Amino acid sequence: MTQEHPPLTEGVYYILLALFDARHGYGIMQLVEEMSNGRVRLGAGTIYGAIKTLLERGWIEALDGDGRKKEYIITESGKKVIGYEILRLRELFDNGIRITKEDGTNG
Amino acid sequence: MDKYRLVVNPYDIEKWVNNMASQGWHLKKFTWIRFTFERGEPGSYIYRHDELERFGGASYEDEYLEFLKSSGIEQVDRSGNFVFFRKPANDGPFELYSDKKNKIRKLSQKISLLLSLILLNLIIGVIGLSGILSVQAIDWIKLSMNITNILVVVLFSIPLIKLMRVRNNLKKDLDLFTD
Repeated sequence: MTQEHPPLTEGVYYILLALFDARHGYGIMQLVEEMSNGRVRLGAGTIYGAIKTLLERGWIEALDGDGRKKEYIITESGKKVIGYEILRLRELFDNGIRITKEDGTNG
Repeated sequence: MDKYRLVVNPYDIEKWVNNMASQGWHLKKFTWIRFTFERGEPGSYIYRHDELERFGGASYEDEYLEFLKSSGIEQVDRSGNFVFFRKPANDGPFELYSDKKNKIRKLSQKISLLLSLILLNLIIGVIGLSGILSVQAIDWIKLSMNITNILVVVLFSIPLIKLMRVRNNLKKDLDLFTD
């Protein structure tokens, strides 16, 4: 990808959204499943890997807690990334609706 | 009950362990080749394996295992960096990795390990055999060793091809879909 803001994976997009409030890993998993009406079920290994990478990028940060169950929250740069992603999704959505409407596929 | 299997293709082993579980035999512990099962309710658990990163560091491992535990995932047993986990089947589908890229990465590690093992044995075997056959008196010990080399090559090639096929299918999916 040569875009300035490459598309996020569905998993990362939802993990970042889930972290607008502080949550631990299992909390992320539950909220994402709930938000997507059970469509997106993230594996624990996948979430853990994503959290590690997101921390490295500085898009989320760990909160000081009791240590055992770490909680995470989105950072300002993480929020920026989400903003760009929403713009990208809107572009995809608008173009999809416009063209399918002209064609009549979309009722 | 003890059963013996060599872990070459971990995905085959996982399938087998889940098959055993559906017949009411639940994995209790395992080493490299020995798997111990105990009687239980058929199909009450889903089993998944993982291979921990060898150089991830101790804190990485602790954190990861703790993380899985807090997600309601039970560690069955561990041998080296190979771990088996399980979760009650009532909780719904259970996968450790829901994304294809992680799966592809893990498969690639396995494939390169198998490939180097096969190549090493092939080279030693071929050089050895050509050396032995070019002299008059045959050294039987050397000969049997080199035949073992060739056997290893043949035996490990089958899981290698299987793993590569799985990886290729995942890669094709990635052409069309994101994770």
